[in-house]
Amino acid sequence: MVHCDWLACTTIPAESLPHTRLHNLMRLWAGTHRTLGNLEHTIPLGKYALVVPFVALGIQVFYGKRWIKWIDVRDLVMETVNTKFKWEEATGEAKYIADRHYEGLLEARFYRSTCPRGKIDKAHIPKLPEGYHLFGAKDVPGHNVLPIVEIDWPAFADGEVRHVGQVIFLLVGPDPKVLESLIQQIKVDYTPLTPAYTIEQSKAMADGPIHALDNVLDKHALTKGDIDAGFAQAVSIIEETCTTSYQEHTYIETQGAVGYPKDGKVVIEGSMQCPWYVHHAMAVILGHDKVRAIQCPTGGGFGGKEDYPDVLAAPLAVAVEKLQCPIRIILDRVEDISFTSKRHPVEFRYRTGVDKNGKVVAMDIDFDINSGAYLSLSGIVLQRSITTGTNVYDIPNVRIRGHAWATNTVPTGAFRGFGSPQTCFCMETHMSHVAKRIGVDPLTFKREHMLTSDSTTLTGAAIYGDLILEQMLDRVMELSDYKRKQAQCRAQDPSAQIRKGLGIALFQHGCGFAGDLEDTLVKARARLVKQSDGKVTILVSNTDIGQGLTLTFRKIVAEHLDKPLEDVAIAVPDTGVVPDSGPTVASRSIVIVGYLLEKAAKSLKQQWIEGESQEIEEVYKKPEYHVWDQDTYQGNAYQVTSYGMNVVEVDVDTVTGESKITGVWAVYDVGHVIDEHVFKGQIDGGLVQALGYGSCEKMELNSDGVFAQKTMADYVIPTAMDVPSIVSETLDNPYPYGPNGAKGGGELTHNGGAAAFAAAVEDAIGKPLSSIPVTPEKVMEALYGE
Amino acid sequence: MASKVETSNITVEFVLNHREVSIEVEPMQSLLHTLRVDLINTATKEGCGEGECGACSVLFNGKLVNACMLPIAQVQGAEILTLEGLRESEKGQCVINALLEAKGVQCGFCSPGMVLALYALLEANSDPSEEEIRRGISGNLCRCTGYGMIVDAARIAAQKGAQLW
Amino acid sequence: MVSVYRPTTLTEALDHVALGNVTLFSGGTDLMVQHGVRSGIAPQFDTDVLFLDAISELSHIEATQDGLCIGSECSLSDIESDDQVPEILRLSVGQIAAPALRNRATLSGNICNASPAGDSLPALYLLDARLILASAQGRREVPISDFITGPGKTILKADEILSHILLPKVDLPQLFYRKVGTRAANALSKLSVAGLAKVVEGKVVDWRVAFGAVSPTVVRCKELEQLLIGKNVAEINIEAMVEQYSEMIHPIDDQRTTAKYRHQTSLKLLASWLEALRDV
Repeated sequence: MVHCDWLACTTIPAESLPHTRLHNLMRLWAGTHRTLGNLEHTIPLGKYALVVPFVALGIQVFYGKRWIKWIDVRDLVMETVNTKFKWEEATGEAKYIADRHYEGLLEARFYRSTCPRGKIDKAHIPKLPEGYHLFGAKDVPGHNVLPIVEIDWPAFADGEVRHVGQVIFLLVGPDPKVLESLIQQIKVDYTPLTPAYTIEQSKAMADGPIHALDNVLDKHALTKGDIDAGFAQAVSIIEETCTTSYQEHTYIETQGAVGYPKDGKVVIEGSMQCPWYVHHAMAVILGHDKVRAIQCPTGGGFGGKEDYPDVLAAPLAVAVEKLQCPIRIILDRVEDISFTSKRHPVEFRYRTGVDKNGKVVAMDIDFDINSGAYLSLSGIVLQRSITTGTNVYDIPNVRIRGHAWATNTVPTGAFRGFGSPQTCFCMETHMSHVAKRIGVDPLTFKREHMLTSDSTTLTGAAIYGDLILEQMLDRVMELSDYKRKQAQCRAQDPSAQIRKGLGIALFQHGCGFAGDLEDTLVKARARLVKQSDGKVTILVSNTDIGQGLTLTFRKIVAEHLDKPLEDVAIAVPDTGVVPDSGPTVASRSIVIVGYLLEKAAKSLKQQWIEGESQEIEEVYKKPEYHVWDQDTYQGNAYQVTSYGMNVVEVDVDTVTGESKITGVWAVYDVGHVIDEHVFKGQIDGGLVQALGYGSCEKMELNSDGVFAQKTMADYVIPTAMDVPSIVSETLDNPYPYGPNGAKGGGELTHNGGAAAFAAAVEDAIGKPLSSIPVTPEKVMEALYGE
Repeated sequence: MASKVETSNITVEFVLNHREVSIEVEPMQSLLHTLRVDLINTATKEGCGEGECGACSVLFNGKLVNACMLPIAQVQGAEILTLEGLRESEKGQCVINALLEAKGVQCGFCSPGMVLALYALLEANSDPSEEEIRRGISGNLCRCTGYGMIVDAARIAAQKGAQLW
Repeated sequence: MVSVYRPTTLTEALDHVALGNVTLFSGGTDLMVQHGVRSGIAPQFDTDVLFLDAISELSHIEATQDGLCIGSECSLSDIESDDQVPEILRLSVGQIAAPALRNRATLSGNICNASPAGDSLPALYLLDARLILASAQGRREVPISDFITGPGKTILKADEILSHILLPKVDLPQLFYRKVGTRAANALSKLSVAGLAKVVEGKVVDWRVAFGAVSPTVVRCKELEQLLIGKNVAEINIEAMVEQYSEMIHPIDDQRTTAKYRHQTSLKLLASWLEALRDV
């Protein structure tokens, strides 16, 4: 409800207001007047319009001193994102969650476990001053769980803790200083058990298992062909272990949310990728569905805001329901780096057989991932790693087994690529090493093993559509002047201090949810709402977290409606308004939801009635070719796959082990690109993030089970001086079940950079590297040994 | 833990975006906190609170600084320019438009800091090389763009705003 | 109740310092982090804070008879951009943090913070910098090598302020500087090696080297440097020198890197520096 105290009358339900930046407008004419209520709307009429609420039928809008518009509220729809793409972000007008004002707002802080593993014996809570409240497991009205795939992760630790940083209490009150003081005074007595931090320690199960009887949170296996027959043909057997470490998302905006009561519901708005996940988490913990989740402008996600917002939202919902007032929780940077989800560290053990013709004839892969304290997304990461374990290669006989291990560390979760950056690094590195062992140039070796359009995949399916890997490889070699540079590298003076190296990585990414879960689990629905004046609004739950959906979705719809872009708006992802088109993960937004929007737009165009309001909804239907068995992992591992190739050139200083990245070239097949410029942003961003993953983003657990790197000074991501400009191209290879032929690409761009970088450094120093990040310390170790 | 020592509030007067401001504050609270909470100027963002990310970049007497590291007591008598002020000026709009044209804005959280850093760069050097651009924004972390299109934005602004700088 | 003071003259500042326990605050880029509590809460200082940044008489860089006098409140970017400042110091300071921080941070902060990884320190040691410590009683001059006694520890008395840094004139045209940070910019040092020399017709007239972030304080050993004076560059036994310095540096493991890396890399850089003399 909005009350304009300037007129001291009339209120209008917020839903029926036009797109008006009410609080900014009020401030403009009233000096330092504060925000009225929880309003965030944007008017496209001009920044200085004055809005006078007028009861019943509509709103008169002043511009300067003149009346300019009369808007019939019956025509008005939901809050939409400003259609001038990224204008609000660039001018500083966009209101992220920490920028928003709420009348009567209370602050909230988590009290987190300081014990990595143990029973909670007793909590000593100081006497709380008036206006301060503590919430814990005993305050949960519904179920004290976070419904992140499984329900093993409690919202509030209850009786036991499984990692340092686990949420035990939520403390709420008006003054952050008092909250800080209270947090410092809380003391918890634990009976500690021996913690396991590494996969090795998890397997050892000191003081018994953390989970079940064996600490295995999930496991799965897959075979193709006949592994024993394959090895029987091998003349060389090459074994290798490849490892990757933690990676932190380092979105520039930390996690945060505000909860408040409204119209009998608990509403949470905040920085998130998946409002319906947050909605569901609230419903579970409160035990009812009178909840609503709204995405605010989000300062980066990369998977880190896929499940972790539930960790904030569930306790917050409990407090909001109880206190019936707005409550805010914003993580500070150290807390965010220390305790939010991370990329799974992995260890891949390969046993590879090569026949007399130099072809890989058998590959046995056994790998482990560190799942942290709870399952969360590890099962799906495992599925992706297993079902795409052989990357872009056609290996006839394969056995692949993977385990997700429970440890007393922060639960690892989603991070751009979701298992693929790890798998691609390990497989690319191993294939290069196999080639070198048998005396073949790695690039030649890889080319000979590439899948073709006639191949059968690892999971026993035919390739859908055409593969253009040969063309891509030719093109990336051309772009990077690969042959000449390779010759230069080989001819360089071996005693020179600076050594040049060149590395290449080939990789893929399956788009959409794993297997056919889009069909059996997600069942996305997307809606187009047309007003009588012909303006159309897109209603989906996919969020623009920087990847440009607020442009690309509108482009798809505008094109198929044959309307100008300005006539198509997109609703703010609000579970009170939009249908569930699924989460913003798994590179699914364009190919799955974009396709639904294309279909919806085509239908709407066909059924268009001038002057009338209309609505079209499309529900996901699996394309006919897509078959999948979720138990045996046979069929199409993903609805469709995108491909990429990266070449990286480095100068390695053999005195310090430091590598300077001097050139980066990239080529992609994402079917078709909806917006070249927007996708270039994904290429640049994903590739730089991957280069960081491969080079400087070191994250180590110390002996207390917490990360040694917990500030932005110590967890090091690339600056503008750490990377060059990237030269890239996309090759068209339209996919019939994607909008305008597009597939997914948001994660693909993160899958190759680390492998290509490591290969380049290896090329420069002439020593094998099997783990990332390839830090200067590792390079010195490789060069000069013990 | 030692009991907290209270700091007495002081009055700080300074010029914010060409307007005079007088405010009673804790002297050691940061300029960033003062802008965002006391003055409700939220364009300047908090990314780390430790002077590492540059999301809080503002101009302090014409020089680029991290507002999270500057205690408000040191702002007495100073001229502060934030994005709220910069976006009203022709030069500021030149930078903003260049950033949008280059599509160097993805999630947008680093963007206010980047606009300030690019502005400061062009004020000091109207035709920077790629290396100079990268050095100029070396204290502004971006996780979305990989910097490529922000470097493009600097070039576009230098070119299109050639008379301005 | 703690108070803050922001005097405009050194005399005023010294009067405050004479009265009691204050925290001296120049650019504050270290102090604001060290005293930070949390977002939304002002940094916590337990003593009065004395701001030095408004003392304009301390913000000049002036040539003197014997060399250069740098006011303690000059920002690192002022120092970096002033041609009067020896190149080795400009190079060092230019690689500290990032532009925005360099616009606030000062040499006096870097010196008095006395971090083993303070990036201006190796160059200042090499240049035989002398520090003027002012108090209400007068002035004293100390060499920088006497000033810093350990990590975070200096001989600055409670009633003193570091007011100026004096750099004697040097004639050392050969220069070596390498900072190995955690990344290419905006980075804390893992280690640094700074060198200055004068080689005339293949003979070493003067030679210096200093190591940063590999010991509790900067490592510079004049006795070892003396071993090279007068030698022909071709005669220098690089291995022997490296072995000697190997005993002198005592790095640690931390979240940025390992003792082994610091040790190995700084000595390799020393060898590079010695080899570079042959190219003069």
